[in-house]
Parts: sequence; structure tokens; C-alpha cells
Amino acid sequence: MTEPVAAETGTQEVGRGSLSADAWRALRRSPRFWLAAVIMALAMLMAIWPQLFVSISPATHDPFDCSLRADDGSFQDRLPPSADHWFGTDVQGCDYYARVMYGARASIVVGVGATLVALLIGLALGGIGGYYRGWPDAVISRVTDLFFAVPYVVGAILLLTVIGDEGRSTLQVLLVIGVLSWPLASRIVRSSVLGVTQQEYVEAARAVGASDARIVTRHVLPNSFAPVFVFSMISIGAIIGVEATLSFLGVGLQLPAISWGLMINTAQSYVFDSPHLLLFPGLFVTLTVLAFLLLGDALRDAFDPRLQR
Amino acid sequence: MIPVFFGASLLVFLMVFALPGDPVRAIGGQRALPEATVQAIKARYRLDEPLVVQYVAYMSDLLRGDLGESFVSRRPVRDMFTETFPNTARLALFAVTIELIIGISAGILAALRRRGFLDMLVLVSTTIAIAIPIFVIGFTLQLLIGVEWGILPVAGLGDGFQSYILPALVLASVSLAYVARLTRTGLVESMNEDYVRTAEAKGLPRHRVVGQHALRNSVLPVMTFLVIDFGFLLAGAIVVEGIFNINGVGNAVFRAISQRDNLVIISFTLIAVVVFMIVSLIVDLAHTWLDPRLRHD
Repeated sequence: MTEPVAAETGTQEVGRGSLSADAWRALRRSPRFWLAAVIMALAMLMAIWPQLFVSISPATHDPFDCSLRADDGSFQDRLPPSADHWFGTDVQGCDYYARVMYGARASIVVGVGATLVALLIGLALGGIGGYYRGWPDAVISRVTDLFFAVPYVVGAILLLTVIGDEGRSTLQVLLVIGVLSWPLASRIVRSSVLGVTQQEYVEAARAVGASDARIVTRHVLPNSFAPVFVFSMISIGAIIGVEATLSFLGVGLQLPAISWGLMINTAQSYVFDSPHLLLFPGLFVTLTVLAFLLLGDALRDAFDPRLQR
Repeated sequence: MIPVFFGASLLVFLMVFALPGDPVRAIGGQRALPEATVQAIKARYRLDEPLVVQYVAYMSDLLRGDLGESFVSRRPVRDMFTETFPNTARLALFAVTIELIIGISAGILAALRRRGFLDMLVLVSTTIAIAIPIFVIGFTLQLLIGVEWGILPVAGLGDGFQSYILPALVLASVSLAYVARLTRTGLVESMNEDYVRTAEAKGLPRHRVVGQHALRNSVLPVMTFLVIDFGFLLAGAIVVEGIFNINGVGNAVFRAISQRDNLVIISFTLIAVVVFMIVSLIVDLAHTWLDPRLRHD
């Protein structure tokens, strides 16, 4: 970054590469990063292709293939974990292992989707506020404050209950959580864009007559990328937890959807007799959330050289 | 602050009233009500008026201290609030106390032995505590401590002080982890500051350097966090009060939403908005008190 306008092709790569190359070097040495990456890869694979995980199980491979009684007449519901049913069976006699594997998809779709929705709104509003400052920033900041003041979970329960009259889809849950999460995204985008636009290189670009579009795409966005990316990872983890909580409260996803939160919602009535119903989905939610949080932490440390002392 | 309050109140009002769903049907339940009754209910709760008129009437009642009347129980919302609020307030205060005492101590211990065993222990346990959904922590502790070992009451508030310990611990768990991490990061950073080196050079004992000079600045992020924490506490209260069967604000709001008890939802939510704004204000004032650099700006 010491020679700003050298040969058009070379410097851009070197200049942009150095921060991320440093970050990558720091990440490679971090056990936290590898732990998170492995869990995340497994969770993603589980979400895209649950059949793969289910196919190794001795029980039925279909999460909807449930029977309360076996052929010999014995009851099949709420069996504890065994060699046939690795995670036991649930209230309807479904194989719990298959259901837990298929449950990954809803959680990850909602987590990633809602974060994208929040980011899209946040990038637009926070970006405008941080870049132009002045009255657009004042207006946007006041609106953000206003949405911030309304309690997040009460808002989510309220909106989801209203929608829920005719049943809720994954998409609706995703949109509600995303729309409620934008104020935080907007604040983070605003502060990082604001920080970048006050740098000398932006002033220099402006002085040589670069257009707003060029400054935004070449300088502001690449340089405010790191904090926004870190926020996204942590946000995905947090939203997976929120989805589970809302489903647990009975206002998130609805049956026959398969989701970890819904499983825990059913489990709460049997928690003293059949703790495995709570244990397995609880464990998988925790591990998935943990992976995203750890990745966010590892990235933040890698992108922030001050912390590497 | 006042514009934010009116803006937020309008937002909540619109969310509750402008969205589909018929409060009259919520009152009638499964029965089809005769037309005259529907009209009477609508007149009683001003449901037949335009939304703007309803909003203005509600707000002018509110400013006179009248929180409205529950559609479902026909009781004043104010009575419902004064019944439930003390339970939640005690729970929340207890939780914040646990958070601050355990969280800040853990953060200090971790920061002073950076990269040591305690530091790793605090980092790992806080990450896990943040990742576990609060209801999983709640059920697990209830099952182990309440049912299996029988150390503390399982649910309800019938046993006085003891019955608050378990729910408060669960409510505090997530924020406790954040407080510990913020204290640790803040303290690690301020231990590298010049004024700390000066204090050490003056020959001050270690506990004075940490307690008087370094810690003072590193608790600033913790103070800021308390504003965010207020949101966590409210969300946590809904879950924790459900698990431990506590007659508190969280439970009341949740029930009101599922019953479409509009005025209860709005009034309770607006009280939360006001408390949130007061907490933010106190934190802002505390900032200038803790950090002398802000005073001269």
C-alpha cells in the first residue's frame, strides 16, 4: 500500500492481498479457527445433504417414517439411545438421529438468510449514513435508535404470532428475524464506513477527482469488509440461537417442519423422563452456534493486528 | 429521548393494531358473538374508531397514568403490571448482581494471568456459555440441581430467597460470559497504557495499579454492555419465567401476545422501552463519571 498508483494490475493484488494474507497467516496457526471450520463444514454438509449422515445409521433413513408400535406390538416412542436408534426415538416413535440430522437445514437456512437480510438493509442504510454524513445520517440514525428501543424478542414474538394464524414458513421466520436484526447491522456498517471515509487515502482519492461510485467500490467497501464479515459470522450464530428460542416458545417454525428448536419445544414436556429428547438437539444447536462464534472471534483477532501483541 | 419514545410507541402501536388478527375474536374465543355484543366490545375499547384516534386516545390516557384495560381479564393493565413487575425486578437485579460480581472477577483473573490456565478456562467456558441456548441451560440446571440433587426449589417463588437463585443464575449465564470477556479484553488493553506504566513506576502496589487505574477504564465497555444486557434480560425473562413458572413480566407479555390482549402488549412493551431509555441515560452519565477524559469535552 506504499505505492498507491503503480501498474494497474500488480499493485491492486499486492495492496489488497497484504491485509488478508496477514489475516490468513494468523488464522492458519489458530486451533480455534480449525475447530470452528471443521464443525461448520460438517453442519453445512448436514444442512445440504442430510441423507449422507442418515445413511450410516442402522434405523430408518426417513425422518417421517415413524411408528408408535413395532411389529411385535412393543411401544416405540421415547426409547432411550440404543444400537438401533443411536439418539433414541421421539414422542411419535420417529428415529431421533434422522430427525436431528434433518434439523440442521432449517437452523442454518434461517441463520444465514436472516443475516443476509439484515446485512442488505444495514449496508444500504448504514452505508449511506456513514458515507454522506450530514442530514441523511441524522435521519437514519434516529430511525435506527427508534427500532433499537423496541425489545427485539417481544417484536419477534409479536410479528410471528400475527403471521402464525395461517401457519408459518421457514421463509417468514427468516424474514421476521432479518428485518428485526437490521439496526445492529446498520450501526456496525455505519461506524466502519465512517472510519474508512476519514482516512487519508479516501481524501486523496477525492482530491484527484475520483467519483463517489469509484471511492465506494474501490476504497470504502473493501476496507470496511473485515468488521462486517466478523459481525456476519457472529450474527449467524446468534440468529440460530434465536430461531431455536422462538421455536422453543412455540412461535418459530411449526410442525411438520423439522428443526432443533421445535424438537426442544416438544422435549420440554418430557424433560424429566426422557432427557435425551432435550440433550441431542440442544447439543447440536450449541455446537453449531459455537462454530460460528469461534470463527467470528478468530477472524476478528486475525483482522485486528493490535490484538496480536 | 422524547421523540424516540413517541416514535417507538407509534411503531409498537402499529405492530399490534395494524397487522391482521381480530381482537374481538380473541375475546369471544371459539363462540360466534352476536352482532350487538361485537359492537359493544368495539365501542368499549374504541376499536371502531380510526387507528389515529385510537393512538391519540391511548397516549393521552397513558400520559395521565392510565395504562388501559385488558381485553381478556377486563382488569386494569396497571394492576397486572404491579403484580408481575416486582418478581421480574428482583430476578433481574439478582441476575445483574451475579453477572457483575462473578463476571468482573473472572475477567480480572483471566487478564492478570494472560494465556495462563485460568485465562484459557475463562475463554473456553464463556464461549460455551454464549453458545448454549438459555432454555437448554435452564432445563439442565433445573433437572440436575432442582430434581436430581434437590438442592434448590424446582420452580415457582414459594420458597423465598432460595427460589430466586436458580432462575437468576440461568438468566445471568449468557451476560455473565460477556461481562467476563469484556472485562478481560479491557483490562489487557489498559494494562498496556502509559498511565498504568506511570502508576507502576511510581511504585504503587499491584492491587492499587489494577484496582484504581487499570480497572476504572476497562469497566467502561462493561457499562456500555449493560444497555444491551437489558434486551437480553427481557428476552431471557420470557424463557426463564416460563421454565421456572414465575409470575413475571416476561410471562405476562408472552401470554398477552398469544391471547391478542393488545393493550397489555402495548403498555408492557412501552414500559420496557422507557426502562431501556433510562438505563441508557444512566450508563451515559456513568461513563463521564468513570472516564475523566470525557468530562472536558
